[in-house]
Order: sequence, then C-alpha cells, then structure tokens
Amino acid sequence: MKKLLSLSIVFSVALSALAQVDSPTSYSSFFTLSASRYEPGNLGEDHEKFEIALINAYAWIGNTSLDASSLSDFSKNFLDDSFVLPKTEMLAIIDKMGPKNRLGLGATVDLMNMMYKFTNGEGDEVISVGLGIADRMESNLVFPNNIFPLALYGNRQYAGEEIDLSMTGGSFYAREYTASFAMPIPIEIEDWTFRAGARLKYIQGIDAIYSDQGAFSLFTQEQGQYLELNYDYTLNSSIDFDDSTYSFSPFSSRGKGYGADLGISATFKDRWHGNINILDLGSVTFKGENNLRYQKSGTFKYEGLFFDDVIDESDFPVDSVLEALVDELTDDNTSRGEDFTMPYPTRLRMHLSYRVPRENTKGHTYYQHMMGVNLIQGFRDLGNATTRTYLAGSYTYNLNDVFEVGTNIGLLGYNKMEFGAFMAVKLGFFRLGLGSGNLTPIVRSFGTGADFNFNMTLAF
Amino acid sequence: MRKTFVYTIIGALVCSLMFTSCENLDDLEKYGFQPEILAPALKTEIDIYDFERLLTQTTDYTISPGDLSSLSGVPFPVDVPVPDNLIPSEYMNIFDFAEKIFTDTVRATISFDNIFPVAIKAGTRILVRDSSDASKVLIDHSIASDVPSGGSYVIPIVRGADTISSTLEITMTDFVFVGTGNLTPVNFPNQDFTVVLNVTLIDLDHVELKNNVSYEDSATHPFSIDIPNAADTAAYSGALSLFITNKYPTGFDLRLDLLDDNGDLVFPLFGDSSLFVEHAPLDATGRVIGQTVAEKVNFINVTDINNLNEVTQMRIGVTLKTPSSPSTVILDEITTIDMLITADIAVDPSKAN
Repeated sequence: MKKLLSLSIVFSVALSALAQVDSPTSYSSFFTLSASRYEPGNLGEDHEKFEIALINAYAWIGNTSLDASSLSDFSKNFLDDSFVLPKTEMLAIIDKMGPKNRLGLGATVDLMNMMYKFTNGEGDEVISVGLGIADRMESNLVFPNNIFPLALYGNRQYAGEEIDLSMTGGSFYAREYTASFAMPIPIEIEDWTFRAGARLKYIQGIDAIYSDQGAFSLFTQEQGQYLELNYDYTLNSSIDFDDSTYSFSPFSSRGKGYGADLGISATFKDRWHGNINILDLGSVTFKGENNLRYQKSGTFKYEGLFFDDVIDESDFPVDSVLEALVDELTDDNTSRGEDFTMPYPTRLRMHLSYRVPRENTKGHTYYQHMMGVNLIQGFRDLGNATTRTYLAGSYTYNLNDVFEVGTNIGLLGYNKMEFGAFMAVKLGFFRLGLGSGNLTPIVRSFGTGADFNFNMTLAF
Repeated sequence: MRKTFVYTIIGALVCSLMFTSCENLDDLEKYGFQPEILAPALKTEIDIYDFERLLTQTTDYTISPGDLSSLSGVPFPVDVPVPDNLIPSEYMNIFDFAEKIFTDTVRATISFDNIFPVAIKAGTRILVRDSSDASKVLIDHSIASDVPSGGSYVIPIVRGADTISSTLEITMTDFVFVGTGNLTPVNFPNQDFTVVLNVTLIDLDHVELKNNVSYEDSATHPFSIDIPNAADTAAYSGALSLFITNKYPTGFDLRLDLLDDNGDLVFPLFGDSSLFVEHAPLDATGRVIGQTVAEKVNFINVTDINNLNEVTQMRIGVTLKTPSSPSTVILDEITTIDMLITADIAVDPSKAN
C-alpha cells in the first residue's frame, strides 16, 4: 500500500507538471556507462570496473501538437494524391495545434564507448574514466499553427489581424569524441555521499543547418487594402545548396567545437538519490566556402501591383501576392563563406529518486525498486532541447540484479504526454537492454511521438 | 485623369482572375487547398508632380502683308501651358477652372525669320502679356540689333516667379524697318511673317481654382476581357472592391459602363449610380489639409466578370467639381488621387471543370 501510494505521488506530480525526450537508459541501473550521457556522475556507479558498450543507440521523434492519428491524416493529405482531408477535418486538426509547435527527431549512436574504474587498495573507487565516440543527428522545428490555415485556406480569415508566422529550427549531424570521468567527492557528512562527473567533448560538425532567428508576422488590412509583412531571419547552412557537386559524407566535417556535460549527485542513506546536470554545453563553428547564409530583415507593405499605364505596357506584370512577398523575402539575402557558430542543445536535467537497496549473491548492492522523477529544461529550442519543460516519473524493478523491468510516464517537452517501458538482463558480463520511453503511438489518438533504445554492453 | 481611370479598371479586371489563378487547379485540389485571398491587386496614382517640370507651349505670331498697316500692337492669344492631368486640358482651357497660376520661372524663346526686303530695326519690341490685363507683362523684349532681310533672330529669355491669371497674348510694338519709315503693303511680297514663341513654365507652385465650376466629360473606349483559364472559372468566386483616396481640392463623379458592339449597356460597374468622391478637406485659404476616401466594396464579382465576354467597349463619364469655397492645387508629389483595387476571391478547385 505504501509503495502504491509512493507511486501515485510520483505519477501525480509528473502528470500535474507542465516537458524533451529522455532515454529509458537513464532509468536502468545496468547501463551506467550509457546513462552517464544524461547523468555524468553515473559513470563508475556500477560495481564492475570495466565496461564497454558494444551497441548503444537511441532514436526519437516527437511533436507537441498532433497525435499519431491526426499526424497520419495530416501528412497523408500532402503525400497521398488520392486522399484529401475535408476542410472541416483539416481545421479540426489544425485547431489541436497551439500557437507555438515543436517538431523534433534525432538519433544518437555510440561508435565506441568504454570506461575503467580506478580503485584504491581497499577496492574503493578513486576515479572512473571513459572514452567514447558517438554520432548524433538531430533536427527540430518550432513553428506556429497559423501557417497551415494560411497556406491552405488563404489570408481572408485573418482580415484585420496580425498573425505570427515565426519559425526557427535546425538540423545537425555531429560526431563527439568524449573523455569522461566521475569520482566520489570527499565530503564526509554522515549518511551522505556525493559524486561529480564530467564529459568533455571535441565535436566534429559534419553538417548543419541552423536558424535561431526567424521572426515573421503578417497583417492583413481589414478591407485588404494592404498586407504588411515584418520579417527578421537568419539561416546558416554548412551546405551550399547551389553546389551541384556537393554530396553528404559522414567522414568529412566542416565544423569543429567543444562541449561538456557536467553533473553532481548526492545520495542519502543509499535510498534517496538526486543529481543535477548541465548537458551539452558548448558549440560548433562551421567554416569554409561552402557555408551559406540567408539573412534579411525589414518590413514590406504590399499595396498591389503599381502601374502608371497598363495598356501601354507590352509586358504587363501580372503577378501574385505570394510571388511578390517571396521576392521581397529572398532578394539579396544570400552570402557565402561566412563562418557561423551553432550552439549545442544545452539543457538542465534534474533527477530525484527513492530506491530500495538489496544485496546480490556476490554481496554487491543493487536496487530492487527505484522510483524517480526527472525534470529537463532546455535553454533553447534546438535538437533534443526545448524550452518547454519536461517532467517524467519512472519506476524500475530489479530482480536479483539479473533482470530489470521498468516503466515511465512523461509530460510535455517534445510530446504532450508519453509513457514507456523497458527491460534489461544481465548474463554474466553480458548485458542487454531495450525499451522505449514513449510507446504512445500504440494508442494512435494519444501518441505524439515515439522513441526506441537499445543497449548491448560488456562489463566485468 | 480620365485615361488613368480607364487603365486602372481595365488592369483590375484583367488581373482579378489572374490574381489567384494557378497553372493547374488539379494540383490545388490534390492537396485540399481552398484559398480565400483578401489582398490589394492593383494600385495607381494620378500625380501631377512628374508632369509639371517642363510644360511647353509653342505658338506662332503670324501676320500677312495685308495686316501691315496696323501691324504694331496687334495681340495674338497664346494658351498657357498646364499639366495635362491637372484638368482635361485637351477639351477645355485651364482658366475655365483656374483663377491664377503661380509659377517660379518662365522660360521663353522668341525667334523669327525676316522675310521682308529690308532690315528690321533694333528696338522693335516683342511683348508677352496677360490677355485679361494688358498692363501685366511677362516678357518685354527689345530687339538688340538690326535683323537684316533674310536673317534670323533667336533670343532666349528667363523670368522669375510670376502669376498668370488668363491666357497669354503676344504682340509686337515699335515695329520699324531700317530706312523706310512707315510701311506700305506695296513694298512687300505676299508672304506671312511668323514669330515663334516657345514658353516653358518651370516649377509651377500652385494653382488657385475658381469656385463652383464643374466639367463633365464622357467618352467610350475599346475594351474587352480576356478571361484566363476559362475552363476553370467556376472554381472562382468573390469580388473586387475599389477604394479612391482623394488628396485633390476638387471632387468628382465617376461612372463606368461596359457596352457591347452596338453600344448597348451590358454591365454598369457602379450599378445605377455613379461613384462620387468628395474633395479633400481644405483650410480657409483653400489648401488641402487631409484626404477623403470613397469606396465601392464588391463593385463587381467574379461571376459577372466571367459573363462579360460580349463586352467590347467601356464608357467612362467624369464630372469634375470645384468646391464653393477657395481651393488651391498644390503642385507637389503628395497631391494625388490614389486608386486601389482589392480582390476578395475564393478558389475551390473541386468546382473546376
């Protein structure tokens, strides 16, 4: 009853908060090496001294607006020539979107990841160090809901209104070379232990398209006497779209940068555990002639095609409003070879859990029950970070330090709501885990995203 | 001004369907697009500023030998050059409307060929003056040296700011031939003597208009509508609206009718009534201190446009009215009549043929 009550409290808190994506790896105690990406202090928390990740991959997709069912119909409208969504249904779907919508997807794959724990003569950890190489591909887009009814049904509906059409986002593919360490902090307070960890990264930017400034608004005068477009945008790309010789290669990079993940943790009586982490500090700078920058700002008041003498003009400029607006937005906006720096998706991650310690047959401590809450707050909307706070609750059950099963529920971030499950197993030095932090697509009217995690590790 | 009205309307009608037309409505239907567009389509300004820089009027002062006995002091009228679109000057005199014209500079060139068998003596005077007030002389030029028989004379003259209140006239006085004393027709062949006056008003400043004067004009122009994407016209609905912003001190009535080959009315663009545009607000001196706006919302819908294939002519009627109080046209770039056609048009690709 007490456990049920605790679980209820955890989930109630999660449900009542306002949300990011989060890998189930962080809820497992079998993959501390992989989990150190999210909680750097976790490195070395396993009782084994050496760990190497054979496969560690996490892929996710999410949006804050449309469930899988609506998204399916919405995308089918544009992708399937034989399918047209009636206007009323399309508007009903668009109504589900808020004024600020986020769409993101990404994947992280460890190409190599290993750690070693240095101990003193008594077998106590002095420091754990790790080396890793990982590839990250992430994309995001922040967009307003106005853009769809405007594109599909025109501006008539917005007569007399100014509508926000601002959009930002980016895509990047980076390779991280990571040197990490974690160690106990020698502060002696009864019943308390502390750890700190850091992951220092050299980042190879393979390619990136990035826009952190994309302010657009459109005002339609009540009687249509003029349209006024305000705009201020910058979009940087390491890809020259006009270069027909360009071809993507994961083995060539155009940018470089440095980054870090930092974390500290505190544990009380081995039962209460909390950590605070700053993840993905840093940036990547792209240099080279291939860089392309689109940048322009201004106000464009469109008052119709102006003419003095339509009859005498042999080439009467029949044009559309849309073309005039596009010309205004895109003329003289391009520069090449400009360096640009893309920040990394920095975010704050906080975790608090209550766990029930047990001893396995070798006398090592493991946690039979772990109940936790996570809060993730991005400092910007980029990659897997969003400024929309993510809050999640999790529960993990560990059977004799051999088999683990868990579940999680999350709110906001890149999804409206998510729930997931994972399982992991230890077979000697071999560990295998798979799961999903977001299984909501199973219920189509409910899910707004999905993710999948797979871990295969050797530890001894 | 009348021409500009015609051009605006023609342009609007031609563009209205093109405005939302697409290469292929099937593409729109495929994605469920049903755009309803509310936007400005066409705009123009009737602006006198650009035309008032160089206003030239050339006239001939011609006399025949029979006039020689009374040659000296005979006046001949000269029209004052005015902006073509200040009023419809091709049909009326500026001073039917204008009380006074204020100009910064008058530039003139006077020239003639001496066809007489004797020289024209220095001191002969050429006058350009106000025809309603002989004492108001714009140009008083004395020939500086004798002009021999068969010779030519050209003299450029520049005057400063002036006020003109009626038609100009040109005359010559103290017309004396060298060594002949008074002239008799017997001494000369039967040939015209011509003085050419080229007058240019530069930097017109303003024009004071007469009170309560109206001018009415009506004309018919060839006009037809070439409807694009005729097969898809059922997919379009909506209407055009006309907005006129008057920054002139004169009001006007506008009537536009579409006619067929026989001159029969097919469609009155403004219905049974004309569109009246009040003059701009004026201060006590008659200067414009604001603007008035006249609108004809949904003056023609797309269905009507689609049904106007038989239209071959447009009849336009304009009545210009000056106010009952003093009014002044300031000749600057903001004294305009702005005309705007907006389109409020919906496209439903599913209705395309």
